[in-house]
Amino acid sequence: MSDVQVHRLGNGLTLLIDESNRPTSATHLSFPGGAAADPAGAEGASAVLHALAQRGAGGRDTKALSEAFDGLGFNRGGGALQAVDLFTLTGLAADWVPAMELLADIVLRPALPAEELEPCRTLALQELASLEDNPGYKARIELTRRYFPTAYGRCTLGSPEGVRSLTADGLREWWEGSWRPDGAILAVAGGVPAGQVVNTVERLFGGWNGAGPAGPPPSTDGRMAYEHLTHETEQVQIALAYDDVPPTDPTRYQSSMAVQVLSGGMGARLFTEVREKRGLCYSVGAGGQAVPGHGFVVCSAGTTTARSSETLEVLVGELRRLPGTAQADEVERGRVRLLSSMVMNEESTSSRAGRIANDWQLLGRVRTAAEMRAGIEAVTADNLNAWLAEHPPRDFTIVTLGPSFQWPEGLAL
Amino acid sequence: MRHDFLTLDNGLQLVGEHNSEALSLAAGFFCRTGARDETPAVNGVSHFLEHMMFKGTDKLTYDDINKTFDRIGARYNAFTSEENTVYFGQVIPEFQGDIVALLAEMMRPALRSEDFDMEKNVILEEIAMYEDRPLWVAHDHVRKLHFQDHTLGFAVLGTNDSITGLERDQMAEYFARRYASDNLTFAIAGAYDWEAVTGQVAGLCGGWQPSHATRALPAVSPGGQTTVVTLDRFKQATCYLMAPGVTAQDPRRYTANVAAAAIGSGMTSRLHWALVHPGLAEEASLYHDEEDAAGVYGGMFVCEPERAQEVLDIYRATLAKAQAEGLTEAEVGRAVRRFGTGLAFGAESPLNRLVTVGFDWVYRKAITPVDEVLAELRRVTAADCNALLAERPFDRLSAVCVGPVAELH
Repeated sequence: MSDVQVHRLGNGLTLLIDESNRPTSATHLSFPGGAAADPAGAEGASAVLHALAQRGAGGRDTKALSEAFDGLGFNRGGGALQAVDLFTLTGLAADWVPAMELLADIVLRPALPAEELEPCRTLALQELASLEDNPGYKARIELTRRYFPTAYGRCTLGSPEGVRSLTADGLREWWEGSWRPDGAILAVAGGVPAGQVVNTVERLFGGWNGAGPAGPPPSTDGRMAYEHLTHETEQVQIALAYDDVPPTDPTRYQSSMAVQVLSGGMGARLFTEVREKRGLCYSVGAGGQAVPGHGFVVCSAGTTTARSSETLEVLVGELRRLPGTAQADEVERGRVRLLSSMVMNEESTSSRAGRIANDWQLLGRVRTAAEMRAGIEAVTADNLNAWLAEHPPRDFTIVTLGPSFQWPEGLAL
Repeated sequence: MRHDFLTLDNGLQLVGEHNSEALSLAAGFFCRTGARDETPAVNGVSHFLEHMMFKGTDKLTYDDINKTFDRIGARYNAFTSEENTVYFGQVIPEFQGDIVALLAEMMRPALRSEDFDMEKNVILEEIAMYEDRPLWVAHDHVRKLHFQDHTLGFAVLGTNDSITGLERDQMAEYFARRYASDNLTFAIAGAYDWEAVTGQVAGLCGGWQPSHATRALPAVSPGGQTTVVTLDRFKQATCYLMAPGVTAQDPRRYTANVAAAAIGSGMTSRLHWALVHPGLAEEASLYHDEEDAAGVYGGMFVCEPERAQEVLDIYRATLAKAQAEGLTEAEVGRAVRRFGTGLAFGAESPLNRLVTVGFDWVYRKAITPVDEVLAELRRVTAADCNALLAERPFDRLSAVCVGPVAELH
């Protein structure tokens, strides 16, 4: 893994560069904001602002802007996330500078044409409607809302009422106040020479300044334990979350390993117990998540009504069985999986940009490969079991979504 | 980049694309079998069998297989389509021997009755899962409509009835015919050791018997109708469309891909401008996909149910205009650039290359390196696209709309 260069601009933007000998480039630009910061009553402002900002910028109209990106062969991505606004660019390193000029136009000089608001609003409302047709995604959104009871847990698409209330003037004001560089992270990976990256970023973003509003921190105080949401589907979706150590905690590698033991592959506990031994469902899994200052684990499963009660029972049973039972062979498999995954992620320019941006956002620094390796290697069954004794999975927030759900007899939360 | 080839005496073919810059390797078995090689009585057997291949051999249980994949840190899975079943794993180079041994062992499964009965539940759950996905429902219906009585219209998962009725011995018979040495390709991509891998595969697979399995390749007679599947439990209207394209063996496949992309991929495509930009449809796209002696243009849109007819009309009109008036050189150039970026990023991943290399071999018995694909794409002109579109493929467009929609015409 190459050394990552870090440059701080005077306006609070941190530039991270992971230069490699590749023809490709991947760029992540994020700054604090996202759905959590949307004004009360205008939920969806950040999401719609992203869409509107793509409709012309820096003197180009929508069509000219899209043709310019396509002419360079660059793909745009991103949007309003939970607590950040994200822009991504992927394309050939040779054309990175002109692509960044277009991105700077979108962020700093969007046209935000009033006549384009209606189609953006209609599309945002359609996206919200489509959530109803995607039960797995909807279950996760409803879980997030209940696990983070404040504005932090909002659906990133906003709400129908919020989206309907937006005005072109209001969005312009929102853009002026909220798209600001203080706390921004710009991560560039791939074959663009570092010197060229620094010069270009200073030229394009050096004059940008100010700080945007931040939403509430990711607090889970007052979260609810369980709710069933009636939804006409073939399957019941089960989504469950519980607290983990924060991303800055030195025992974060133990928590990653605990998730490996649970769900690190098809040989791990959840797949074996829920699917292989009992045939209860097609998909089941757990994943470690982290946001600045807070870590958590999310589990999910989808199964028909008749099997759903047993699925939740087995799932919760496996979570509760974890403390004191991690075996050396499970930790060894987790170790190789985590180390191999590091190597394979290194092959992807996009993963590399995402990884360094994520590290900076969560830790305020970028870990070296040696540090990550050492952290993974240091986990043993003994110290994992000791850690699990202090951090057992508990205080679950659970959402079930489907035609009906029979709470498992005798299962107490 | 180096390409390697070997055919064993029993007909098993080995192909590789070596990349000395890769940090990992991906290996896989490609079986030339899928839903199109089934009969109605065993519809879904290819996909169910794919699950059963993970359930163990005479020597290994499902737990042994799963834990071995995990022990070597593999990224692994399998997938079944209308015409292929593929098993793959990506590992760091020190585990080359382990992944090859495991995949080879898995290719001779025990197909135990108790595993078969248990896994049947999982397949039925998978069918239920896809019933909750409107695009998937529309996809299965439109293939039936487009391919009519051709087996390319068979559902990959089968149906609740066909899976419930399927017996273990029917699967075993299908396996013996289709997983013979001469119907399998072993492919590997990335940082591998060819000498070691060929020796190992010859040792492990050299005793497999050929079956001279064939595949019926009747001509497709495209349906061209429009229907609705009225399902009030969905909120939006989801439409899948299909029209005849060019085959996997046709050199014009590059042209067809570029033409489809110019019409329906990305924010400068015609469908985006006609439907997404004005807010009429949340999504609207078109792609081209090659199959064995067949091929399709596939498209989709999602919109509010009350607008489904209007959106369908504009979608059709957009295709009709493209085939009547043709594409411009600028549109074609942009589509080619987008493909070029996708190729450069795809080349970074041994897993991505494995699938491409495997299918190159299965369909054409030749591997086309990334640079050559890019060169082929860059040679595509608007005149090429327009000659293909002048054959008026979209005159025989089939469309299925799923959602709270009563009728469409």
